[in-house]
Amino acid sequence: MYIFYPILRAPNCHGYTTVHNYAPNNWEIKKNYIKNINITWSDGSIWKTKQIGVLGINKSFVINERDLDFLPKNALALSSLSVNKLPAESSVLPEDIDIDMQTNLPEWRGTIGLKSSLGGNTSFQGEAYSFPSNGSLLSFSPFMQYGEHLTNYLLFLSIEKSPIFRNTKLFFLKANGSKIEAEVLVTSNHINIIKLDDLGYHRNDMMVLMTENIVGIPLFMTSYKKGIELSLEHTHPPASFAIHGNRWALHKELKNIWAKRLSLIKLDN
Amino acid sequence: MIKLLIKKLKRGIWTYRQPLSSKPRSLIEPVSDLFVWRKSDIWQTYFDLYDIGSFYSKEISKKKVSAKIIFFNRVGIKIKECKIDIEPNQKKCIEISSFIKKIDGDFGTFAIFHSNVPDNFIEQKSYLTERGFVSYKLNRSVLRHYVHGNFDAISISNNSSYLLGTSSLLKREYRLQSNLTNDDKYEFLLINYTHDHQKVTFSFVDTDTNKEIKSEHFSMNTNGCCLCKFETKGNEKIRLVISSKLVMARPFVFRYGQKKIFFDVFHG
Repeated sequence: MYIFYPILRAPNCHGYTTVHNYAPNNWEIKKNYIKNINITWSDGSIWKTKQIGVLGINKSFVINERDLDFLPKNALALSSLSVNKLPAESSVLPEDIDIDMQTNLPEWRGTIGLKSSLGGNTSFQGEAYSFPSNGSLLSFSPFMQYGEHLTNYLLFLSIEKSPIFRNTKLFFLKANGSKIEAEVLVTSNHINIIKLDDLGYHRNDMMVLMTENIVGIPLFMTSYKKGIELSLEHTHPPASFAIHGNRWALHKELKNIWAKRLSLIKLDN
Repeated sequence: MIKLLIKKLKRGIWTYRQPLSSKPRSLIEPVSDLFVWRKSDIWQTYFDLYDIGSFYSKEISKKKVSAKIIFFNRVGIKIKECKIDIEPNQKKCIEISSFIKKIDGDFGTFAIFHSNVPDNFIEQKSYLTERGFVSYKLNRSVLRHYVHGNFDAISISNNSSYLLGTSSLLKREYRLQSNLTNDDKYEFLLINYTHDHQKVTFSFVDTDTNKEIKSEHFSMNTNGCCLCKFETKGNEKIRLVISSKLVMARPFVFRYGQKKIFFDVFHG
């Protein structure tokens, strides 16, 4: 799987991603190479890639959203490192066949962050892969914060192999609820930015996110006074509620339980 | 064929009987990360607690459930445990630091064990695990700053907790893929989730010259943790390498802006 490091966008903030050309440990990868730094984006019908630099061994490079002035407005920018040159245009998400960045403990990560001109700065160590286009999403989130001057956003990041922009509904539920709190149209190969404060959630509510035919990474950002402070974290995929054994069968069971619950709620409506 | 065998043997040195996390003794025994608590005049720690088991119920569950929290100090000694009742399918944000006394120090670890392990976990021979979300406030910050858990570190049997981490045969490096720069200050907190005492070296390497500019050595008791501080100067770019016999020495990273005042927390 070829790894991408998205460059985030969010209200009153700008995104930055630092890519690193050294392995995260000394035993899974024995060779390293000078790599191309690429930015890939979709225009809705084709993937485009531009090489923005070269990264030496043991070096890091910071990519600022603000510097990517060649991107169309609202395009999802995916940075990546490649040994070989990626095609300038392609009908499927490009990948480098010879890349040697496959590690498990941990994955080869980038620093993905947001900062505001008012001082807030937040990041996490992460990476992203393309998701299958027939998948569904189930995610449980405790991240809403409440108080004066606090704003909560969902940054729903979807990457697919196809460059086409597909729309689908993202459903917001409460874990103990019996109705859909909100449904919002989201688009594949985008960062979908959704303000959460007016969706009817309260302090003890557990937010449940569901889609029927799109997968993505739900990132939650909370901002104080438009960026004086920022907090950012992603949910765990529900498969990580379990370890060992047949955890993927358990994951499927959980998704079926909630898919059934969603379909009953939709029938009621 | 021979090349493949050599490759497998080379990898086997690092992986044979060295899982990141062993299996608990029984399927009904829940698992938790060892989360980091911080408490002082400037630190508060929080945890968003919710019953994972009730998500697996076919009907919306009404059954009252609970979780046990066990606290350890920095040298790995258990200092407290408590039971928290949870409403199914709701969350409860708990101030973890309110359970800690001044005498217990200013940082340590805690684990969360859920009482509700649904039958479907047992049927699938899987173990229910709590991987977090812990959050911190510094200097009365308005926001809680979130970070998720790192490890399936610890389980519990008959009221007694036991660790699931294993030691590596060989010393290995964990290279944090994050640039330390911009005059920022850092604190790296590492936990020992193995049965063995662990010696750890934090090495700070200048990315321009590839030379080590500073190293610090720590030793950690089982269940314990260590904290290493580092401050960058000007525009120097530094990377961190952690050497130890931990299978994965992934630290919690606390970052403090100096040019612009901010606080950030993330894991490696």
